[in-house]
Amino acid sequence: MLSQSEGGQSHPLEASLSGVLDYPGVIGAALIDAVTGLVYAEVGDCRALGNGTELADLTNLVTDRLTEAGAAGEVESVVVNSRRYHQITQVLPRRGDDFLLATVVDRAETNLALAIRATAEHARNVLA
Amino acid sequence: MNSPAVAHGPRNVPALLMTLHRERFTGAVVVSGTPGGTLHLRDGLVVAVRTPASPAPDVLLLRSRRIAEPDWIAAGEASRTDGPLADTLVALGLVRAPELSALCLATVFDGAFAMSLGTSAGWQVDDSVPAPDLIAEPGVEPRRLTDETARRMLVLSQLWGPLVDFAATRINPAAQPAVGTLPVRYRDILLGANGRRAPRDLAFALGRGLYPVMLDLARMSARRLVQRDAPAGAGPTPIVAPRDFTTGASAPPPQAPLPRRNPGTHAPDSVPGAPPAEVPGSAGRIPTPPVDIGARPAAPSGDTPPSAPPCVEHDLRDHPAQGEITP
Repeated sequence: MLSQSEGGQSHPLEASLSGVLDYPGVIGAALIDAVTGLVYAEVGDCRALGNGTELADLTNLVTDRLTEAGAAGEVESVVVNSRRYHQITQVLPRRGDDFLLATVVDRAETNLALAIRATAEHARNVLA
Repeated sequence: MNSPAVAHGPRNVPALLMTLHRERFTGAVVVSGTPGGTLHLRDGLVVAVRTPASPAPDVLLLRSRRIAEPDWIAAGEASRTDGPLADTLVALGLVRAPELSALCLATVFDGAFAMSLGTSAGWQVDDSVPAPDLIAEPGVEPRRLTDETARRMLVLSQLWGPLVDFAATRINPAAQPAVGTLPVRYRDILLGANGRRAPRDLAFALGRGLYPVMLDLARMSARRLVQRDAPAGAGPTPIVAPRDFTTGASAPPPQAPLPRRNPGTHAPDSVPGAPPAEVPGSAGRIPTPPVDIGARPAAPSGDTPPSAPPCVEHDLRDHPAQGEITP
């Protein structure tokens, strides 16, 4: 379960995040520092996401192992599926350390391809 | 600050912050020591931490080239008439509001972590210190700040070892790292590491937080991408004696001690303990008294305006120096 947002009521951040809840099946989302795992903001029900540090560690682990194996480029997203949820973590590149947009999607409400497309679209706008 | 609870003395900075949180204090806690720093509070929540040991939001924005320096200067000038700097930066389209909020929040945690790596000599609570231009609103609860700081110290110490040594370690890139297949963050660190920079120097050079840089360095060290040089000041004293080129060995140290400077004469003694050598023109010179640069917390000086409220001063010398910010 994600802890409460470290910033308490981070209004600009939570406002930018809240739009992702409009997509079908998305029940929770969090904006996380991709290096430290610090949770900047979260909306909805994020209990299925795990904590921010674990999500950042997982993404860094995937990135490290891929580059060690010779893969070029940067990781765009990491998807973990459980019986009830899709956990989709989108990397938001920026000048400075990247952000992660982590969303939890109810499998009964949508399919994975649609959910990835929707969250990727929102990820491009979350910092706008 | 006139709080009776504070005047009777929390035992360390985290306890002080808890007290100030309960009192919904607005002002600053100025922590002296190495590196020292200032924690700014609003209604009991920590909205900013400024310390020489970690980059502030403006440094992050500029050194990461998120904002160009001419734009930053223009925004600073515009904010004098247009309102707060944060609003001006957003209004000019230089940074987006969510990103700026996240960045300010990150520097609160990074500053607290950086201060916890040093030693504290004391603190002052002062409600007359103005908050910086860029702050994290509405702020961070002290408990969460100290918990996260403790977590970060634990993570890094498990990955690397003693954090004081880590902070002072000069970083060198490994002999031939495969730069082409590394994440951009690692490549930037490798390009910035030159054997003279410690993690703090890299953080400022790259426009990143201290903790993220140290975390990346720890991960890179595990992958043998960087080498650890001895911390500055550590290790044996280098031999500077003349070398015997016939044998390659250094000459034995001279038996006679080196001459020592005699204060006030501008001339060395030939032998320690001997009378100072006479220097032409030095007769009647008044020796300069030594300057006290001890780490005592700065007491309110005579330069303080009479209208300034009194500060509460505490001494931390009886408390553990390392990890002062942690519970």
